[in-house]
Amino acid sequence: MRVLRINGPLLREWLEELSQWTDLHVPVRAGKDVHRLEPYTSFDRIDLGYTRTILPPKKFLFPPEETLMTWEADGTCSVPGLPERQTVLFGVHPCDINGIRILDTFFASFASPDYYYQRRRQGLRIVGVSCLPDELCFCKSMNAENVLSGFDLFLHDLGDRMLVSLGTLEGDLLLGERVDTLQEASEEDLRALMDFTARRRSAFTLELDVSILPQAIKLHQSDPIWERLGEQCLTCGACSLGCPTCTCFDITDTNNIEGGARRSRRWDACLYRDFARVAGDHNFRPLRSQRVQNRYYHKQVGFAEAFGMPSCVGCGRCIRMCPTGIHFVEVFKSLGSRFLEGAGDG
Amino acid sequence: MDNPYLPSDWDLMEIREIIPHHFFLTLAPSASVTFPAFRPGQFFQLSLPGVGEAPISISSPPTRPGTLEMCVRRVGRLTGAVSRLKRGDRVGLRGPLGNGYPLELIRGRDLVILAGGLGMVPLRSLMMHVADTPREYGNITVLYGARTEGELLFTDELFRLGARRGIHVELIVQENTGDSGYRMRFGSRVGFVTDLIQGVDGNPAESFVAMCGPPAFYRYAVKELLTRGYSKGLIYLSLERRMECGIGKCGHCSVGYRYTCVEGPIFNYWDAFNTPEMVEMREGDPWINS
Amino acid sequence: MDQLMIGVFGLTGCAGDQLTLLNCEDELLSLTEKVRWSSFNMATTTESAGRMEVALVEGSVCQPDDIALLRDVRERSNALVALGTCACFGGIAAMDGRLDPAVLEDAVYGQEGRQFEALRAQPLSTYVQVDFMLPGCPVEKEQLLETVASLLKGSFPEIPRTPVCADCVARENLCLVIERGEVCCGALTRGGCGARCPTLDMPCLGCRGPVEDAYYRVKRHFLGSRGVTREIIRRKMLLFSTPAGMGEILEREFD
Repeated sequence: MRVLRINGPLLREWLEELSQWTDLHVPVRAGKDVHRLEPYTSFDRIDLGYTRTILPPKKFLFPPEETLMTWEADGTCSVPGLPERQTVLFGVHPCDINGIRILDTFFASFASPDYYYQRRRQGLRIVGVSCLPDELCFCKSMNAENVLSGFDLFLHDLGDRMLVSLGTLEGDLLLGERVDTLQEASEEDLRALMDFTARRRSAFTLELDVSILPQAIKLHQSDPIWERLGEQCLTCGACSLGCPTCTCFDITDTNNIEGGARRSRRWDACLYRDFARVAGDHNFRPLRSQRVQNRYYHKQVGFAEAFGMPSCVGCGRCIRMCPTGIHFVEVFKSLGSRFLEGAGDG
Repeated sequence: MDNPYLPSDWDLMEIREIIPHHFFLTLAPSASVTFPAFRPGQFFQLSLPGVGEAPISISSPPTRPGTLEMCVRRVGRLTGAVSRLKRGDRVGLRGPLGNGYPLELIRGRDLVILAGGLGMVPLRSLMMHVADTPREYGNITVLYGARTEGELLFTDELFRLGARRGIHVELIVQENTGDSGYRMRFGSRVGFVTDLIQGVDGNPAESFVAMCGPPAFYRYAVKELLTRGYSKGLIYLSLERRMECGIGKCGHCSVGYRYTCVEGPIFNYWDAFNTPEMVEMREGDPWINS
Repeated sequence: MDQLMIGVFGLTGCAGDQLTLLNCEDELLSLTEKVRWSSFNMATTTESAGRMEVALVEGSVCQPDDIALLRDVRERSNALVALGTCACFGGIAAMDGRLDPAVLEDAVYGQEGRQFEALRAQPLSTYVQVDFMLPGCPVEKEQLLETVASLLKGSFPEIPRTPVCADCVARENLCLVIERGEVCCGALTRGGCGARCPTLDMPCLGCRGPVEDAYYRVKRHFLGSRGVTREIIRRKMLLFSTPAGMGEILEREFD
């Protein structure tokens, strides 16, 4: 992989230029320790040292609400177009890049790839940026702390220097002619990059042994922990809606007074009561505890069985966003440890 | 790039309320649409602009292309709007969706159809398909039950089919409300569909069983079938789940690691019983208590 | 196209939902082409005593006159829509359904109040069959138009059944409960408002009424653990988030 040197002034100049011809989004502070990916307005608003955004980059590929098609009063159906400009996300962390890779796999699955996701994905460019974990990050445990691909460019902010890795031709093109004027990273630069990676690796405080997780969940279907979680969960859905890999949606039609109609999809969450309700009012998961259990099962076991990897990248959002303090990792630790105890007894 | 969310235009050739709240639709593709190939057991998303979509089983067999037949029970918003449609109205269809019955596995075997209530709707497609190609399949036994005789679907058709060589039809109701037509044609059987399994002719180990009915019915039926020597690998059932997209994306129909809309709705009984949540029992179900 | 005969009626309430209909300025012309008003006090003097396809009824039932009007309207309409949170759940007037109406009369009017014949505030569904509920205080303009548009096509609209939190997360708001320990009723309350209040940094008051399985106990439990007193939480929830008559259930959930 080609790695080039870049610095603050060059970065400013580049992003300023990029914002002229792309829809550039950058991390901007939203609160004490949270950020949002927002449209670029000025270089000085960018906070490269951020930990996590409230919503993951999923919002650009699979927006909270999206019109699928509209009908005129005479029945003519049309599908809304997309803006021609490329969307560039600047400053995406490895966990979220891995999240997008999971979305890519999921939305391309089965015989019918998701038209709406794929056309947005084709126009999306990703510039990654290095980060350091906080006490809620467990991407390392989920094997999602690093990325070797899945980005167009990746910026390594090592403190005393900045490097940029070229991931794709599209990334090369984003840099424009500049790419030929930037210096190649030196041996020493690359050593510094490896040092940073090692330092980062040892900075994790939250860890989880995921090797026995699927088995623990699968075998402990009637564990009392699900009942307890059902009592603690408000089913507000924040953990799912804010998850970089949760993809459930609901399709709804609305009518306008002129006689036309619109079909749209909207984020949904398996924690909501209506999620598995069918016509005639039969609900396949009427209990809160069943819905909580299903979410955990699906993400760590079900998805893994279907797609070869769990649908979790350890970004910590579900922990950060839970108003009642349910801690994803603690739940699994408790389940896992009891599973091991049980095995010992046997 | 194909847009699998876009419905294609179909014309409603006929709509009839065959029993109260159950509407039988005959649909033909509009000029721009090619009649699709499908398998019995597959379904379409029936779409009405401004109202929504709902998964509806195909009720007609692939052996009779040109029009599609469906039977819709009026229970929700979409089916309510469907019930108010008139001949000549335009509807949208997306599909065929789902896996359908494994015809290659059924070929050459006797077929036992177990239907409860509305479960007859998708099974009618399979039944007619097999009946239309008798050389490829063995005998057909149809065991069909409903709560009362007024709720039995397609009785005239079933009566005609049952008179054919190699096809045996038995109907049963849970309550006999005393309709004379029913008695004259089929005798007055009162009980559950599963009561009829013991009377089926043929070699159970080599017969293919297709079931569709309420979830708890499966548990009882499977027990009975296995006791009578039917093969685990040849018992298939059909599952109902909430479906929005029909193409394995929206997540509503996911059960365990399966997407019912893509990998189902037809499942081998073993898969269904060994995947969490797939088949559940409801308290007070007569099948459980009896 | 035949015009749809709609009647708009107000029981005890602020008339804010009817006003929302009048506030649909851009669509009013279209509306009047497609709808014939059987009754709509705020907009027309026309008043028909005949049948109507749809009745939109706002307000809660608080007086014997309300019951009589409601029953008459139900009798004359093919479909009855509860318009607004008062009509759907009782709303503000049902805030503390455990109190005797006489106590409320005394508090507001003194002895004079006894001349009113006041009932405990109830949603429409206590007295008649309601075919569709459109909550909101007031109802959202877009949803009201969607409702009328769907009715024109002969069906009811599909409005969100998810909590306000779903709207709030979609707008990428900071959670006021997590960030500031506010008593926000978002998780207990029907969404569809786009999380208007939390987006403006104000906790949700619950004005769209409760979600189907509002979980009061855990709400109290975790807010309590953040130092918010039980009384504050109770008052917040009783304001809107609990349907009429739920006061006692709420008390039980709290113990």
